Amino acid sequence: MQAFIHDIAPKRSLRAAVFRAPFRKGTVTAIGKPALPRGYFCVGHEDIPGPSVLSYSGYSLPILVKSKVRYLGEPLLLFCGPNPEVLAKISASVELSYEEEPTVEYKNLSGPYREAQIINLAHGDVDLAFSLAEQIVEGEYRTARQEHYYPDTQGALADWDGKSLTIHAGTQDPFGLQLAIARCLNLPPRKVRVVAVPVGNTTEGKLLYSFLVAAQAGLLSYAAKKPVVLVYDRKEDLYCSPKSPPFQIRHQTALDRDGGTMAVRVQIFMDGGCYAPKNSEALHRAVHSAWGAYRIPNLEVTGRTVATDFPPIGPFRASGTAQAFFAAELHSSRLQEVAQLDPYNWKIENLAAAGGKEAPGSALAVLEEVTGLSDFIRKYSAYSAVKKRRKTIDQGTYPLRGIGLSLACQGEAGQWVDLHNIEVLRNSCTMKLVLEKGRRLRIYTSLVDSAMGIHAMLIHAAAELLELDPHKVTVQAVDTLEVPDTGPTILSHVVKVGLPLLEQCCRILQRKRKDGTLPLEVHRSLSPERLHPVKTDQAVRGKRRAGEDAAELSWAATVVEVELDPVTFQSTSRGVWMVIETGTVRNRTTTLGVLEGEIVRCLGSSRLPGYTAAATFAVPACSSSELIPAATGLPEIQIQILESQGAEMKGFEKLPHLGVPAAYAAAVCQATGLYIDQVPITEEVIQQCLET
Amino acid sequence: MPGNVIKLRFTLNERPVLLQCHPGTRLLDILRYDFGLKGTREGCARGECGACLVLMNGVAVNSCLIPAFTLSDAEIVTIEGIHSLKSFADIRKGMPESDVYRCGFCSSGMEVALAALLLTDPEPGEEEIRRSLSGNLCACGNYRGIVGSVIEQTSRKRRYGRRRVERS
Repeated sequence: MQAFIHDIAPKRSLRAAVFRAPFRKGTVTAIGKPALPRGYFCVGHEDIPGPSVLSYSGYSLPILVKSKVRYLGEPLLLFCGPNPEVLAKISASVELSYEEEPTVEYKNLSGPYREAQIINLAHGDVDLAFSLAEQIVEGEYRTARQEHYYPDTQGALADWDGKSLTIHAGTQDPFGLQLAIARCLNLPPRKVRVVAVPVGNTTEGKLLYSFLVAAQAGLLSYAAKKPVVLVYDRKEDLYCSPKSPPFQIRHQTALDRDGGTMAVRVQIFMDGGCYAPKNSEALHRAVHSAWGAYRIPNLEVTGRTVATDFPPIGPFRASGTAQAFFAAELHSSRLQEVAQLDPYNWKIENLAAAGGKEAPGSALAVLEEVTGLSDFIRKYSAYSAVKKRRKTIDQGTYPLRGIGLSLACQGEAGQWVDLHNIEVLRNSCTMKLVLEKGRRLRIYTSLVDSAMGIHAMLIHAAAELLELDPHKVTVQAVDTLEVPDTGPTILSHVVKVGLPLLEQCCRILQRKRKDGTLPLEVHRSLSPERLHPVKTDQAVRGKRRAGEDAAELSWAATVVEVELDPVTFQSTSRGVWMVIETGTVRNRTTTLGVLEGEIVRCLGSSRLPGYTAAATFAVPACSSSELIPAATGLPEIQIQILESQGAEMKGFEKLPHLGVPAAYAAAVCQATGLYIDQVPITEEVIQQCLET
Repeated sequence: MPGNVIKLRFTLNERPVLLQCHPGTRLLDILRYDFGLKGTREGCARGECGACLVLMNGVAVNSCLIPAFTLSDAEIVTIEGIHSLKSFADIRKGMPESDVYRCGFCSSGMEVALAALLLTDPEPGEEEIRRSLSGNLCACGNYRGIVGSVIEQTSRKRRYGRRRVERS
């Protein structure tokens, strides 16, 4: 059985508690710290030796605040001691004086609010195209804040022995965490050792926030000079952890007489939360993905990050891209109606140059395959005919049915932003392999094992390349003293950097094996030039327009079929079909498992109520069953992978996030005959659309 | 506070135990911190995710919702008991393969729910398995893998059992 951070605390370690602000916004005027019993310790903002703000990938978060509180539950003081019940009493006896400030609800992000970042992107003559247009189609789309809901809450075990600090933490980036803690405690990085423990399915929630929890545990251990374990309970994790940013996206499309697209104007507003990032990778991704996968002759995109009073935002899987694709795909379903084409034919007409119609395993291939697999065209026509015959939504007692198709690509623009913006930059990413006697191979890497099957992927790739028994290949426990820095554990980084490094090491081992004696050791590194290629916005745009980066894109076409109760509007997914093209696939079983799991999560985030920002701790943020679908009521999920021989493996974990919500929304729109412009689509949302 | 402490006698993994604790202490905390049984995990802490399931008198219950005062004379079996006790040897044969889980956090709760099912129905169908797991959330969304593995294991057990009967 896996031992998570909750399971590893030694008995002699002190327990820790965080004293948090009980209000959403305001200024602390005084904190009356209680008298501490012997063996209990307190740490405040003034006790942090280094910088008190942690940064990662454009996002930032203070470890403890001095006076200015920006979100409910923002940490003010840290306590540790042997007895958790005494700690609870100490926290309850803190005397806090504060002046609360009113919060703005920001229902419409396009208001005159403070903007933290603006990005503009344009090509062609948009104004001219709009002036010549026969018809202009407009739409505004909204996506909600998303909660990570990792099964194991955040936690860290810190042990300061007077000379160095050892941190056990559930983190996706052990070396990033080492650097962050070293900065915060004003220590050289070599004096901080990080041992990574397994993490649950994180959706990238154990990057920035794992640093914050580890820094808090480290500060307490540094003060107490004893091991300290800090594990958040579910409530504080739900209320206080960073979320994915909500988006409001406006599309304006200029159409010619035949319904052909002449120009697109997109305005993107990202809710940057209370610590709105000045350089956000999510906004970059959203701007670069604003037109989905389609060919747009004249384009103008403006992206804005708006600073609001909502909880902080942080890294999230496919954040920015997923919302941009949702808006583009849903808007395309309106354009299809104008052009009087079905979704399949409209998509083929408007496919981007990238991918091309002739390219093997391209967008066209995944579209053709998924429509065949799901019998999309027949079902779409049948449901459309039923919709036309039905005059009102509440006519008849039979269930409402609809089917939706979406097309998505995961590619270089996102990848470039991933690597370019990460503030914890590496000099290089390295991997080490040791081949021992008995044909046993040990892989040394900082990539942690997670629900994405990273270690299984590395083991199977190495076993296949070196013709070894997979049972004899092991991955060394991730400890910064033992393993080299391979970068953060994000699946697309593993595919782009981890697997090529492993392949290089295996090739060298194969050569050395012929004349060398065991054990054999091989290191390989990727240089900063390979890791952080200098690419301007212009270069990325140019490449996408010219279709040069087709080989670097993974494609997915998704079909979702839904059935809604005509009275309650409760939806049931009747089936999900996804066809992907992602180059050469290593470990097919793991890939299919990852994709299916992500599809289930995305179905949940498309129809379950999800997270809502609460004003006080008395109001529940959300429950687990509002975030994760249960085993009952799940549809049949069919996934097909189209392999392109000889092509490199490409990232694929974001594809369900890009495709499923849009296909689900299109299916609900067809079933109800309503223009639904947001996700998640709950029964209440459908009812509201019906009323308005 | 001595007035707030109760003495409890119950059976834990087929062994009688005696414990002094606050009547409101959660069974989950008793198992994890008093007996060091870390296989029972805390997920949502409000009875929704099923990570903390244990068998109480043969029925799967969320230990985060069970206060200590209800434990008198109860028979508690945790995931450690299911994995090690002789009386669960037959049940273990119907459990999913260990490599079927992705992150593994939900595994103990899932297996307790399945043990409760297999105690009453040794050869459940897909519908029964899904229904028995309806109180367990898998953040990795790996339900099909888990259900498929249980079906495979129980049918393998059935085939093996039939062969043994034929031979005898």
